Amino acid sequence: MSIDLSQFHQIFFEESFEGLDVMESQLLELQPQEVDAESVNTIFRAAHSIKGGAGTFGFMQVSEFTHVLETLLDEIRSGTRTMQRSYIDLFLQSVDCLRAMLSSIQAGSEPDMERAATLKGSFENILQGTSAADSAEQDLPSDTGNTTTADVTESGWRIIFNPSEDILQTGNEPFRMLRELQELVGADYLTVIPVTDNLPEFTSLTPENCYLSWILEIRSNVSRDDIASVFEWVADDCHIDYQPLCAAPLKNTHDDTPEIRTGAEQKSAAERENGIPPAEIDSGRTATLIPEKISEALEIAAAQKSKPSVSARTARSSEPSSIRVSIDKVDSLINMVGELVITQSMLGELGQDFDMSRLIRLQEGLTQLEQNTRELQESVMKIRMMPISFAFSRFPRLVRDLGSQLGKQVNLVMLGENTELDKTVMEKIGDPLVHLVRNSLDHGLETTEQRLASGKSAEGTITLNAYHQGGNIVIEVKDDGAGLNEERILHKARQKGLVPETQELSSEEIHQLIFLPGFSTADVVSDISGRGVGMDVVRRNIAELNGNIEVKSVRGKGSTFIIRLPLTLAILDGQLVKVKNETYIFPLVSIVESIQLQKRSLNHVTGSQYVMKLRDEYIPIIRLDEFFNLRSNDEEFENPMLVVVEGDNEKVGIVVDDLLGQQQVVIKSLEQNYQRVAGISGATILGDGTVALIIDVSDVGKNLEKSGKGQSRSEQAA
Amino acid sequence: MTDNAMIECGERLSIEHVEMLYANAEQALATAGDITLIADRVQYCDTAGLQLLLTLQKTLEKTGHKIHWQSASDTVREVSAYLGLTDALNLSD
Amino acid sequence: MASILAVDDSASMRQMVSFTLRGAGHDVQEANDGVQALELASKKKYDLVLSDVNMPNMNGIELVKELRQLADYKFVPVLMLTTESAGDVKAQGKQAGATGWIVKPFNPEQLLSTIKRVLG
Repeated sequence: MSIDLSQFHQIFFEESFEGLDVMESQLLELQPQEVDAESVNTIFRAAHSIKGGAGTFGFMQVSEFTHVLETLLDEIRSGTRTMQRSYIDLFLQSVDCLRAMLSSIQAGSEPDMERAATLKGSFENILQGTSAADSAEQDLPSDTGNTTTADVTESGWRIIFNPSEDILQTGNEPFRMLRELQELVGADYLTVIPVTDNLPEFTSLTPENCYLSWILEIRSNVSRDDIASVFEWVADDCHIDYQPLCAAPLKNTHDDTPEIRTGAEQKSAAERENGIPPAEIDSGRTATLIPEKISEALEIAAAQKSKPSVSARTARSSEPSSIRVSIDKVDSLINMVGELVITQSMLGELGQDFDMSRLIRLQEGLTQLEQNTRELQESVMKIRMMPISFAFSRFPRLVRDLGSQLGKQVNLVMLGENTELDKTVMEKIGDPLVHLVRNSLDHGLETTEQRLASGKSAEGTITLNAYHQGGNIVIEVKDDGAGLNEERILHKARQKGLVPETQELSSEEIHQLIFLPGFSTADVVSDISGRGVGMDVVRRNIAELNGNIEVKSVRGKGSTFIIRLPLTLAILDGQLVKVKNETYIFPLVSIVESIQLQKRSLNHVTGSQYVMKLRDEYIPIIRLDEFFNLRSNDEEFENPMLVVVEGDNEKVGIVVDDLLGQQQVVIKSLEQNYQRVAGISGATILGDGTVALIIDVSDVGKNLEKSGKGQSRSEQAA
Repeated sequence: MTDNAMIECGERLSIEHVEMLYANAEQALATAGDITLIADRVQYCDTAGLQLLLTLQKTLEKTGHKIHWQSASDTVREVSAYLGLTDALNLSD
Repeated sequence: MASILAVDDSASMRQMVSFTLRGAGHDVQEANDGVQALELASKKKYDLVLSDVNMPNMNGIELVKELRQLADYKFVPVLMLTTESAGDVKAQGKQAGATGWIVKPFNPEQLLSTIKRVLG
């Protein structure tokens, strides 16, 4: 019988990744001083399952590596060793390493074993004396066909098998053992001689006890190991004596079957297997050797750290992506469809012989259909919704690692973890969020000394908060650090020519400067957040998701970055506008206000460039008809409307002919169906079947910039 | 001698039922003669079951009696053979 | 053929075990942990219980102890599926009343040949 184990691989990978997530989160919560037994147990269990599965499905590299960390966990679990911070670090690195290994294997490539070997070495140094080769070997399935490798006798064995009295009560059956033995050696070569001397008088018999013993004579070339495997489960509590039947006394050189030894011999074997008993370890030696080795390993691992974890992520995303949907959501979907079917049949019946007297019922039916459709749409969208905890889950680790790297004490608070958002949005918001959190840790939070000096608690707090607001999800990244240094930001901005020397800016305007391209205030470009990726990239990424970001900051109290995102990328709340005979759609989220255009408030700048003073601000004006080349000649505006939009934190006024209604539209990709068009983010089909294009607000603004807007703005200001 | 006691072994001559079997055997033993075993229905039998019958046989021997098999299923014979008890249980004939 | 209860918190192990046993004609039911296993066992007498050791809620060792308290399970063979080759867990299992163990990793053939030690 041959079973293809590969059919179980996918589920093994899935549960292993889950297990690693569990290990990681438990490790992060672990305090070495007060180790919670249940946490250690949970971590152990996860490691243990991965090891077991990996071994079963033939991923020996994984199971061998997991074995060493499991061994250390087991010692901690059983209390023979106490948890140390360095162990936690090592375990966390192992989690990363295992994740990378499993990802490689899943992707069909060879895992990089170098890192595993380094970590394994560190574990072995800690475990001291437990040779990895031995322990790995113990776990391999016993090879039943190795009769030639072990000691073979010429003529066989005489075995005295004296079971313990309670052997029968645990389901162990001598007749099955003897049956197995007979199958092993062949019926003709086995003689079974029962010893009945110990049978009591009938009146004093306890029938569940075993009083029988046996002398077994085997006249066949069978290794002692193979015989011993028959008695494997009962060897410890039965007396089993092996006497070789050959002339020359047999010397057992392979001492790896402790089950069949007795007394002192067995004890020494056990000691050999388990390594030196902990009490006998020279404590002086441990103290000097271990930290050295660990820090060495940590260094190496840290150097390799970013790379493997990145490759792990990419490898995982290359699989056909799937989502787990809770059964509730599916059920509600089925309910909706049920209702839809009822409405449909009702309408169908109505249509069979329709006359105007039934118009009201038709209208009712259509209203119901509309409601069904909307509910169905909502339910379908909900399928793609996942709690933001998936995006938040990486932060405890990140904050812990960065905190210790920077020598800052950080407390991470996560709120609204069950807030749901679209899976695609979640995937895309991950990196910007990481950047923001790193930024808060690196630049936002002060050092412990600075905090104490300014009367704050030593421990800084970073809060991640998510909640729904209208059709949006709001994610806040908040720190209780020093807040933005307005003077320094302004100084830097002036230095870089981003803000004219003479221009005065409000606090809020200064805060927004950090989102400008090429802006970085860090005195030293730090390792954490200064890799040339600035807040401008964060803002661009968020704008690509039709979202926006702002920052609020109070000097000395801290900063809060607020991200607003649509709940889904598939549907958009849109403002329909008319330009000439075309209908365009603005994402509602990007619209600041819509006003009647007053021609007298327009200022001509150069060529066809205009700006308008809107309250205290000058905003550039774009004519959409011009932008999309809809204008045949230099027509004048005819009672035009101005839609003030904000993309990339720049306000732009867009002139349109008329405002139409607002509605939800389903976004169809232009790129996938046609090609990318400047100023357009997608298309949709309206109720009457016509196609309307969706305006990419930040792209329109950018195109304006190219045509000399930035320059005109400063001219105007001057 | 003619007043032989009989024990019907049932379908399972095994450890879960040895207590009941023991009680039956105790009664049979009280008749102070040979004991006849009916074991044609036995589907499953194990060491505990056979050991009980063996103890019975050893006890009977002391008074010059023994156990007889009116019938024995293949399972009974097979398991007895594995345990090397065929002769001791008078099952060889 | 025998009715077997397979207990493991790992879905892949459970599936592998039950797929193998069903392929050999056995009737298999699965449980995620000791609690669930005990519940199933109290409703039906299985011929054999195969249980993982490390599980949440109720681990394999506790499960054997509990099972042995049930009149129906006093003598039913219980095998521990264990990765521990060190004697510790095996001994604990034995002490709790387990019949024996199968050391993970095992392949389907090893599983089938091992359960012959407790069935038939």
